[in-house]
Amino acid sequence: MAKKYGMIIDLHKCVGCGACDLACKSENNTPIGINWASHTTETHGVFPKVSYEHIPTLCNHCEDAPCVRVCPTLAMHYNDDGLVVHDPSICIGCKSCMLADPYGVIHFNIVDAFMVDIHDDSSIVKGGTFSKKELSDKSNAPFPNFNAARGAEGYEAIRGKGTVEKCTFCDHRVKEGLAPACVVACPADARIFGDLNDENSEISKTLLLYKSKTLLPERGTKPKVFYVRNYN
Amino acid sequence: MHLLWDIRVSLDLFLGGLGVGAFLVGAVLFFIDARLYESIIKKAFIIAPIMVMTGLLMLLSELGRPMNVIKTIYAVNPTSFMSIGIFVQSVFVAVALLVAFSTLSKKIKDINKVLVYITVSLAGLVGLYHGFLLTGISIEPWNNALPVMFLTSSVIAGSSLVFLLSVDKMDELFTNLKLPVVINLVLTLQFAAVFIWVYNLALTSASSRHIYEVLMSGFGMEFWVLSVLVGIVIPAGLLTFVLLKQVSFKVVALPVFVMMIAGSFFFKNLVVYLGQAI
Repeated sequence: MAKKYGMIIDLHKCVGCGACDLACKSENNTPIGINWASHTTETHGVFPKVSYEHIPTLCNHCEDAPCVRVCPTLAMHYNDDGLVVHDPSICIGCKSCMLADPYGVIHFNIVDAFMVDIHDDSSIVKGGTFSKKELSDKSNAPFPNFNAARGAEGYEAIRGKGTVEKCTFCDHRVKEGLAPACVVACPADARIFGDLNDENSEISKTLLLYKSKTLLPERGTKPKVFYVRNYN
Repeated sequence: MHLLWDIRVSLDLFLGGLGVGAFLVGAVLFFIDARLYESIIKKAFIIAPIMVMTGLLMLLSELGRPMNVIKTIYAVNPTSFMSIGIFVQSVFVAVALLVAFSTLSKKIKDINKVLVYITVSLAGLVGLYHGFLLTGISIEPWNNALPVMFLTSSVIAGSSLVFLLSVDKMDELFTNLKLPVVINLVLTLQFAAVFIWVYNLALTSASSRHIYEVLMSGFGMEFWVLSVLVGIVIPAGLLTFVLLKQVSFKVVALPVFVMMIAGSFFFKNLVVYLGQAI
């Protein structure tokens, strides 16, 4: 049976530390302003009866993804494991996917930020500290926006401007049998990643154990990121 | 306000609409009497592909990777209106250019009728596609009223442009075609389409109701004054005075056509912006 990857975020375990956000940035080298993994916070009630909620967010890898439906070139598409992934080589940068995406998790890269780091040869102390270009040359990787692990798997390791990008569930890691970076980094083990089609997987068992919810279920997108229990 | 689709998308829809509308009115006159309206038809057939191509250039300048558009030839998504629309629009431009070259090289009556028929069918599809492009995104402000609303808006603006360029033929158009009656009919259709759009916004769901409130509060001037009053109500009112023989058609023709063209742009621009204001 084909795999159908999904993720559970146990809000009761989540401590709201943001380690998932940082792990994602570190793994995928996303620039400032582009967060594949993020979170929302909400404060309810009136003092002294106040509650606070921290909800981690990421691409929901929907089964009926509006971003895939509207993409004119199928640059946004489902891969063999049911993940919603993006192929920048055929993306025309029309941003239809961003308009159709009800979760606001797709981002548009407007600047070629990476090239600045490759060409900048200014250093803080001349002859004493590395310039960005020197570091880039010596480490054989365009510093710092080069995802060597992703590049090694044949994916586009430097994301150029004029195209959209979003969470991939770290498909380059999943392919190697590893869990997404956000799952590994979570200090509270609040995230469970696995195959929803495997009834013996931890994710399937956990979904049977707890009542789950998804974001914007009324949009009919069938998200594969599930939230169980409550933050408080 | 941060816009994913800025004024260049509005200009694509507007200029594309002008081209489509111009071709439609040119084709109607072609099938009515190609000899009598030769000069008007010529102008319509020539400006049609130019307007649509100018609009497409605007759209291309808005894309992040415009050179990748060539890949839409083989990378097709049947569920995407944009994917299908690119094909329809490309074929329309190609055959409209063929018609335009025929117009320049031979007499209007000698142009292949089948070719004009095919091109006018494609023009209608492109006119509808402009609306479907937004409707396909499936967000509340871009509801199902848009295809018809954009098509009628395009017909109004395109025909206005053609008639503006043919002011010397105004008497013929008035007496032979009863132009004020025809224009008022299309304006009424446009008004009905706008009403359906707003009605859907106001009553469909809580979130669309919110859009309706944003339209009325944040875009009230653009909607009521620039789109409805300037684009529909004042032209329809002036043409009614012409029908009541209170004023000559020649006197009101120029302001009416200019207002209808401006109204079409304001309206399409408003719809594009409203969709991103939430």
